[in-house]
Amino acid sequence: MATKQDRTLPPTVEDLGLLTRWARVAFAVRCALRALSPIKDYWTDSPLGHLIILDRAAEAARVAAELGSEQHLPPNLVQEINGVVAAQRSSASNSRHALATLHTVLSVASAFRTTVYQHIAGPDDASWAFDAGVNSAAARGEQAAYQEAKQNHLDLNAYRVWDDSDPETARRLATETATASMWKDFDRLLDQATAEQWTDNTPVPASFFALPLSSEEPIHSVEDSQTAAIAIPDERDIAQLPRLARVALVARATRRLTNWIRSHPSGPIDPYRLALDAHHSRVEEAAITGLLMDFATPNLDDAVHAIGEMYRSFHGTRSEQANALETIAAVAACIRAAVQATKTQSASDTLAVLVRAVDAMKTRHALSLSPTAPAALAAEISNDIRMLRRLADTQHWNDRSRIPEWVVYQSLWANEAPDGWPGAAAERKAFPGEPDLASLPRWYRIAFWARCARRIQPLFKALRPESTPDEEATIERAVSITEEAAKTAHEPQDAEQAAAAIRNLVQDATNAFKSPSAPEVRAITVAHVAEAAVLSTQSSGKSIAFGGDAVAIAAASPGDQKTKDGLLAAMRHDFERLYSLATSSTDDAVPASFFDEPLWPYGEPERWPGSQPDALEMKPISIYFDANEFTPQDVAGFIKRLSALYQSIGGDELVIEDIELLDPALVLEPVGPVGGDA
Amino acid sequence: MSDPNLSTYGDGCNEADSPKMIRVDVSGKDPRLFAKLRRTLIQSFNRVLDLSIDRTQGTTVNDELKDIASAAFDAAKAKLAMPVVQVEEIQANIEKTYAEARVALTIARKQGAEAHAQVIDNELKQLRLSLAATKAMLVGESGEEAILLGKQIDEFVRMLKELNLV
Repeated sequence: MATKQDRTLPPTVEDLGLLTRWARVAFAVRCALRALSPIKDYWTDSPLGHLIILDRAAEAARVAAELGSEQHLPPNLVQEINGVVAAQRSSASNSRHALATLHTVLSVASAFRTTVYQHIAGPDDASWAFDAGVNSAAARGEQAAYQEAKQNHLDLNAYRVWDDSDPETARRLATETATASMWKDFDRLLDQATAEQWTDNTPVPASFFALPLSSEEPIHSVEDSQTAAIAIPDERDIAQLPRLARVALVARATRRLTNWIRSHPSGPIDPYRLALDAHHSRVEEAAITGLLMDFATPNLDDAVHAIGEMYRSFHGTRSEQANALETIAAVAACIRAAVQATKTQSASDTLAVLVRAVDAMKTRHALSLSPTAPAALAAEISNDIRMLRRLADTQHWNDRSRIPEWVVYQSLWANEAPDGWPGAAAERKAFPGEPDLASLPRWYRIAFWARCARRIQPLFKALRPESTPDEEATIERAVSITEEAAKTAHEPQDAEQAAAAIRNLVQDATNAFKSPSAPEVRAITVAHVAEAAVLSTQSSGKSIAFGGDAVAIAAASPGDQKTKDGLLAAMRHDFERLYSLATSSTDDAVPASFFDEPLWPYGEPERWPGSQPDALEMKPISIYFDANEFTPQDVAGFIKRLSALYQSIGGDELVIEDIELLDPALVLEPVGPVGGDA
Repeated sequence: MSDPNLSTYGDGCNEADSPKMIRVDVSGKDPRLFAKLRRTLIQSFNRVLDLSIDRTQGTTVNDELKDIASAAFDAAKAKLAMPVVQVEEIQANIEKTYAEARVALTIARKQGAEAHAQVIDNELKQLRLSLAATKAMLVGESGEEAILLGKQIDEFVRMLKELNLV
């Protein structure tokens, strides 16, 4: 085996023979990826069909290494990769550009061969992949140096030749960098294989492929200063989560991607998008149910294969749609890793998914959509880890604890979604199910229903213009009683009476119907919700029956989907807030401040009754300060604190509209003529 | 200096002791948002007020004063407003100091949710302390509330009553 001293040389066939079969494949794949990854940016006039085939070959080899099986290799890929090799050989000139390309092709082809021809090809092919990878890097470094000298504006980060445009130096630097990185992979694989006693059948963990390709400079020239701030969580943080919480973490990280893919406008990829979605749903279900259902991935493999086929239809240079497909392929790889992580529930596999998810956001298409996407996704992943750890602590989760549905489906962007992120607005729709509501302490559940009733209360008058002030007061009373009960944790004495008043109201209204219209029926539904809310305060309450009324609440909305989504999002927000406020005691009152929080945290739906503020609500608040006690600085300080209070309830900030000094001494009354005649 | 041809307004009150008041009208930067949150802001302030007042120290005002509608203050202000020249300096001082305070809050907000929450928390503690250190009351009907602050507010209101302004 090569010693530390001669690590500037490629590994020998004997060296590579020390690795197990799939470790060799993994090693070759990483060599190929190093060659392939930068050429996408560098080789701008490459036939896209060739790039796609190279991508697919590298990906297929990687998947085979992760699975420890070549069973799912696409059937025609062998011929296709051979075709690319032949085409490149025949068209290759002596230019460095052509040589770099050819070496890249050979590197990928060799990696792929290690997978396919395991019986006739062993370490030789891995060695080929290595050599070709290094040569590719060297040729590109050399060419970059020439270009640098000629044009002086290329991004040469990958090969560190920006300080020196001498081709020989560039070639040497590129060779050294590539060689050192590949030896690191070799050492890592050998160490792990030895420590864990791998055999030729042992698959390679997905986390190996998630490692950075270079320990030096980032290879992707498209990375910018914003992506530099990306912080992927530490594996130790993930390891502290219970097993199903890790699955939930994976599910949430990948759902941000699938939601995006789902809303992508490219029509032809619908079937594959659905396949990705379906597999992702299984990951979510596994977190919620704790059951590992059938996780065979033939459909997913078909989908990935089909996406690759679509790549092939692009023969020109890269187009926007091709870039989008590249992202979709990266997402597909991420979902595949998510399925794997769901099976193992290991921290390292979980981390691998997270890294892949962030990497998918670094593809050209994602970055052109939002350069902040990778950093935003990484930040949300960190938020999720904190949220899951907090819940695990407070709810005493263990490795077998199933994750509540609302946790998996709750808002994906605690901070703001990246600019222009498709589908972000639609991600706050899911309504907590009855089991989730049952997980709230009693008074918190009642608070939830009180808020539901309060939110839709304005609909009553809007839907039933002929309603009397007494009827409106009846609804108001029921809602108020419910709120007060939740605040004080005491069963109200007058709940039955308030409910009976609503029943009478409903009876009278129903009797007056000649032929009930839809608005009238919905107005009655609002009344029923208020009735159910106040009855839920009773120990013999109807919380379960009321749970079914969630649908009725939604139905009570004015009908358009946007309003309905807004209503459900607000209800979900309330639920999440209550869950976070809830203590372990089942009898605690709900903090009164909860009821001061905005009813519409994501904005009131358009045309919602009462959405036009009346003049009184627009009126400034007057504050009178004793001028003998308050200096102008004191006054400003007080308004600043009041502004802080305003911000704490969701306001922006207070502004001063007017200032006046009032003096009663100015109200003057003449007491009579002074001097001379009047 | 007052005009010697004019008297003051009642027994026991002379001009030197007259309680001048600074009235500041505030609203939200976004008027629609303010309209939605105004009621909540008043409720929240009332809650802070309840928490801040030390009833044993007598820092509350007489209950009967709470019945005063803030609209009465609106009617009074036209008559009580001092000439612009005299008020300019006070206005400028308040606006300048508050503008600086707004910048500080904005910076805290930009520093992230945690830093912002910390600043807000500190400000709310200060609000409670400042309310505990003086007399404070909330008057007026819903939608027309006004906040009165200072040890002489009851005297101020009493004078307004004597002047038939409230």
